[in-house]
Amino acid sequence: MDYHQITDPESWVDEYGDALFRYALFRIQDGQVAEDLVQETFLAALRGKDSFAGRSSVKTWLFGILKHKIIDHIRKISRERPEEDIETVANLADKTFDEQGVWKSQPAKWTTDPGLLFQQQEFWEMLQYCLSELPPRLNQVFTLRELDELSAEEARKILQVSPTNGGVMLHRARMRLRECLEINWFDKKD
Amino acid sequence: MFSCKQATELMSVSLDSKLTLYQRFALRFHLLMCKLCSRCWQQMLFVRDAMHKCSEQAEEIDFMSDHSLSPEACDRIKNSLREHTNT
Repeated sequence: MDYHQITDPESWVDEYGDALFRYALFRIQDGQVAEDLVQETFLAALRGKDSFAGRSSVKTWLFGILKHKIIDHIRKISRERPEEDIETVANLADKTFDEQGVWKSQPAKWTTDPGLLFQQQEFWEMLQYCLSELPPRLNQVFTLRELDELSAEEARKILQVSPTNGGVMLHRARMRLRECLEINWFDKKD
Repeated sequence: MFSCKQATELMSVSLDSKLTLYQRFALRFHLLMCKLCSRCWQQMLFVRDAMHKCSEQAEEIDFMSDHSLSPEACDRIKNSLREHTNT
């Protein structure tokens, strides 16, 4: 642990500001809000620096704080606008299944080794793109569930969504993401 | 026998909670019979793994690499850190 790093909070901004900002932007998709969250993160870190034990790197510590700030932000905006977004829970069946629930757009075979895939920056860019293509509320419930690894119940409560709609939204997000990766990545690479 | 759409709904539920014995049996049976759903299930698991990996590597993956914190924002944040350090 570099003692200088922990004693000079202003150097955090130069060193980690961009990385934190980009992650916040990836999650929230609003530059102004992302900047504010980064600022709040640094201020919280400043307040808590005496209790930072150096068990992890400064970067990991700052990312941990930012992730909590992001969840708090999503909770706050959901409280302010607690509407159930009908569009996001409307019928998935349109393009993927016919009226009988039979596949209309059939899943293709994927033949890439995930181990190799996860080492490619391009793949992560495509995953980000596909997440950004989800309607905001689907993106939020899905990233709370799978990136923050909250339980489905915690995720839907943060968004103030009923259990039924929460389940429908997660299903829909998974199907859309699968489809987006297939169209934009696997069809092109295979 | 339930539909493929219902099967994908159960797959999603199974990623969030424990299925009932009946649901588990019904889904397993459907997956044995249906190549497309079986493929979809593998891919859904892949998407989940990718998300978990993405979370694990969040500090290393260069998210939104064409964006940066503006110089103005950097100054503002540094100023506020200074203010808070002095109080």
